[in-house]
Amino acid sequence: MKENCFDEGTIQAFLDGELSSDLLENVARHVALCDDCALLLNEAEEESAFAFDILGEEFNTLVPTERIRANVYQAISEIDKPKLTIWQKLISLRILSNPSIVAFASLLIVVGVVATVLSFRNQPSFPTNDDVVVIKPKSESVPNPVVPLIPNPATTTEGTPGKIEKVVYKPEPKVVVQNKTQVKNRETKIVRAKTDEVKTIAVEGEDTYIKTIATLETSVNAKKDNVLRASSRVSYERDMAVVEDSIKRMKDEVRKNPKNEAAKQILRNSYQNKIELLNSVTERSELMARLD
Amino acid sequence: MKNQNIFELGSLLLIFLLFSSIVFAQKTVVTPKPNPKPFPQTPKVEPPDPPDVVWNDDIPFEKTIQVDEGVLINLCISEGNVKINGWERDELRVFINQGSKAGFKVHNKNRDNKPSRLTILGYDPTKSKGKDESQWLSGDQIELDVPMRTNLSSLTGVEGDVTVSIQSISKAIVKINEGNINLRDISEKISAKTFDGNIFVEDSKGDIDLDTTNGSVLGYNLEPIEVDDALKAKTNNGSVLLQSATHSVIEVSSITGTIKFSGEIQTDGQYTFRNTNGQILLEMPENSSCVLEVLSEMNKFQHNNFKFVTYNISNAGSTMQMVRAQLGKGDATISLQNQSGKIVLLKKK
Repeated sequence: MKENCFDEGTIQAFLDGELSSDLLENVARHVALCDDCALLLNEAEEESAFAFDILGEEFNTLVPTERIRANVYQAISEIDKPKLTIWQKLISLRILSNPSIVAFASLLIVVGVVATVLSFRNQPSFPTNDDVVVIKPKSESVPNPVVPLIPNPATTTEGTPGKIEKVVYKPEPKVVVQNKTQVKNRETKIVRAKTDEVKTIAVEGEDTYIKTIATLETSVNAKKDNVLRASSRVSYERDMAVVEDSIKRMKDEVRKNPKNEAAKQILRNSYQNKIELLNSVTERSELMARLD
Repeated sequence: MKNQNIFELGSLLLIFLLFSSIVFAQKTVVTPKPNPKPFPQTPKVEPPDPPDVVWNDDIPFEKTIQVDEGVLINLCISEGNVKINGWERDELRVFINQGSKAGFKVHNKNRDNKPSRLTILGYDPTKSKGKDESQWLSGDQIELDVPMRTNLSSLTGVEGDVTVSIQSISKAIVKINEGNINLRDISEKISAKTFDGNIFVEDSKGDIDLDTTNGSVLGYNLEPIEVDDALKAKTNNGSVLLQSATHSVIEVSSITGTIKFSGEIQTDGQYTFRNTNGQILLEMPENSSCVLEVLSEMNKFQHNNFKFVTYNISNAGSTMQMVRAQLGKGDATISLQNQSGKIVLLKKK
């Protein structure tokens, strides 16, 4: 080793790139002329390569840290980056640049739009599947709500409704659309009602009275609050209570003695009173409606 | 490259329009209101001077028309007091104080070109089409002078308290929602119905039908013209008082009111009085000839020592009884039926 040769530490620092630029130049010039220092530098390089091979795994442990850093940078860059709309993404995908794809997509959309419009137009306001049937109410099965079908006791025979004595108002029969489930329920109710009536029937034509009253009551209960003033309402309810009590009492009498013609007569009159009482509200409502 | 971008943009626009149309089709179609076109500028016109006479409800309205002597009249009243009076002129006069106007809509005319059927309206149909005007007459006081043979085929009162007084005409058919009906000297036919009010009829003839829901019926000096003319009176909770009614067919019914008949019993008469909870009082001469059928609660039938030819009483159930009795030859038939009220037979002096 010569006097101007560099020591081992300086050589190692040269390898590590830790020397200043002036010293780095001197070392490089000296190594090129000095065989000893060149040998020393070679040995130092070999040692460094060996050391890197041994510490390779340890060096690899640094890679995830770099990956994390890279991910963080990526995430930050995505936050800073403006969001792309669907259309921008579609444009970026360059799908729409293909005319055949665009034409096919347009055709699909047009077909879809036409199908949607047609389906909306054809769709009725009521269900149109097979479960729907149309019922036209028959006069004997569904009494007219404002036409009291009052059987004439003198001409009424068993099982036949009496003649119509008075027709106040005769609207066209309304077509009612119901589904089969509703129809079945209704039929069941009617059958049940008929069964009950057969058990408790007191006078001929009573089922007609009951049906008429039921129909009228539905109509009257909906409108009596609007039609009747307080005083009239009180009178109406009182009269109705008297009539219903009369019906109940006479029914009991007839049940005790089915041959009691006097009780039957009063029962018929009481039914008629009730129908007329209910009908008075309906008539009044119609009269008031004429002003509208 | 530039053409390709234009093509892309065009495609995007097409798809956007199609999607928009789908969304639009699924929503309720609301017809957009057209933007109002700006009115063309018209030259300013000075408003006309107000007429000399301005119509005011406070000014009474009066109108007359020559009509057939047996004119048939329809009218509707929204509210007010109505007086219809028969006079010996072939003329119809309408007078309305503090209310609507009036007009005549002629439906038919007779040989002399006079109206034989007309409707009285709340406006003048010759001057107005009536689109915005009510056909109903209204007023504090509505008076009609009509020929004595007038047939009032329909007087309808729909609102409020309407008091109707009719005198000296041929036929009167009245139906009002609320109010009293007073009828006098009606010569051929009466049909009166009120849902809330009283009906008073006197000195009238022919077929008579009186019906009130809440109110009383009073009839005095009523007689038939034809053999089959009937007198029917009905109320729910008021009283029915009939005096000197000579109809052969009389039917009276009530639910909770009192029924009282006082008069001669016609030899061919058929009388039916029905009640549920009120009383029935029948006042008739002792020498009447009739068959009585009285259905009442036990011991609720009373009479003032009539001398019956026959008198049978039987049970009609646990609480009711039936009395069959005959007075004189038993020409007329009287049916009295009361479920829980009294039935009283009184001698008429």
